[in-house]
Amino acid sequence: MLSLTSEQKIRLKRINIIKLLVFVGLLTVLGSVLFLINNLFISFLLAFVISYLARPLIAPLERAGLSYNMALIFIFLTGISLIGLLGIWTFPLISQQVNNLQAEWPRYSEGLLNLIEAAELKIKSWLGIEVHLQNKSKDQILYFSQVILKDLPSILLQALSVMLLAPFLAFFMLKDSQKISKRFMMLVPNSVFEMVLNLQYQINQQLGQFIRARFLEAFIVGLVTFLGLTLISFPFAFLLGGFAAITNLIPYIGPIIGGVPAVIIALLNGYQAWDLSLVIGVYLIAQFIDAGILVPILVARIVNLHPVTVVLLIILGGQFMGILGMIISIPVANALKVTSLAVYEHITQFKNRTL
Amino acid sequence: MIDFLWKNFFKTEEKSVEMILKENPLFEDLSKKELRILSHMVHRRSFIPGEFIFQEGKGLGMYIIISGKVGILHGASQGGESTVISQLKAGDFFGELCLAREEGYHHVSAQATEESKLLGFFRPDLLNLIEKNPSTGIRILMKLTEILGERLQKAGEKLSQFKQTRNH
Repeated sequence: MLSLTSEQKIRLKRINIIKLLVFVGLLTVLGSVLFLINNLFISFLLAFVISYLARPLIAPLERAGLSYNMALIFIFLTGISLIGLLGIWTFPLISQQVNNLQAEWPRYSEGLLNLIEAAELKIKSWLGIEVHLQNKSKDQILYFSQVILKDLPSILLQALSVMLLAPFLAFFMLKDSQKISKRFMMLVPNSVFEMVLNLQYQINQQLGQFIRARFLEAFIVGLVTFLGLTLISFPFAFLLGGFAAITNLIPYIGPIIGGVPAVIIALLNGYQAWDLSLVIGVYLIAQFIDAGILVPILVARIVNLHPVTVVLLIILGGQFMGILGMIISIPVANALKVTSLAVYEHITQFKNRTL
Repeated sequence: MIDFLWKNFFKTEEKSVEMILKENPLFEDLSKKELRILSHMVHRRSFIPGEFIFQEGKGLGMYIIISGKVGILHGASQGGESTVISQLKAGDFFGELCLAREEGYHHVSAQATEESKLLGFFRPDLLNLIEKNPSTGIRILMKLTEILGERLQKAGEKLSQFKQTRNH
């Protein structure tokens, strides 16, 4: 066996250090660009999600004889026209519901304050403690009023710009993913190359499965909520369905958050027990379909984290990045789990190495 | 000017990768187009003399030698004496057994004995290829089974020879 001379060892070390520096440098540049440009991070995340959702559609088209790039263009053109049609169809609905919400908000905020006042009185009569919920919550409600009355159109516009940028980024992510990942792999030192390649493949697979499953699940839950609320002719069905879909991406806590606005609106509209239970029933049915049908089929095969870990991660994510943090904390944790397991295996298996 | 040089540099390099792949028994049945797709998937790696390409243990795939020499060693990871089983040169390949197994395992170690350039083709690449281009993937797998079958037959013959000599 040939053993390395000290000169060769130094050379190997130098090669690996240069590779590491370039790798870290690239990551730093990419990271700072993402965080410094406003909203780019969200567009990037959304693009990431879109690229994972679109990826499985490419292979069948390639098998049908299209080239990779043609398949990609075909998927994006079809997707954009479908979303465009959906937009034309839903835009009047959304703008009408947003207008309604803006028009009725003053009544709602007043009603909410009344509810809180009633709650204060009840607490006082039951427990004999004086609480001052009103003053604290008044500021919050005033703040929300301003958001809904003034900023909602501009927030929606901002969301639109994020949504326009994301498919553009996603297209190039998919077009050049092989080249980019190969360039990155060139920077990996020989001694850990096979491990890193395997890791990249596994994380890619699991993240892809995870994202596709969760988004399909959220879409179906949102659809069921929308249909159910429309069926009992509840106001803002489309907005509430969309909200339920987004919050459903957060495990355990999300579905509850998703249902809260509907219950508040129902209470403020003076819904009585029967009507209120109908509204809650819609959300419960959506959750039963989710837990009984969707989760066992779609989500159960994915790397499992302990429920306690999941809840802690959601809280942690929420503290750092709000709702977005709550949604992305689980896939990030999954990726970290796969990585650490592989690294651990690598270290324990190769600890008696001679090099 | 630089751009021009850059493009041509890559063009010639890509071409040679396809040629190297074509010369390998595993890929000899593939068409030009398939070879081009494959050439985008394989990984070029450089090794300095004495550097390990892999050591006994978990493995992911095969390497084809573009240039240089590679020694296949037995017992290198135990820290004790290791024996050189064979010396491979440009055009030879090794580690292909790992392509066929989910939990691939290298039973030997491979070490560059000269400055060496290698092409790596790994199980994730093969799985991606099968997903995208099943007929190409199947042709590679057929060749792989052929090579493995041949080797199994030879091993079987050697075993029966060994048994005969022991019985005599």
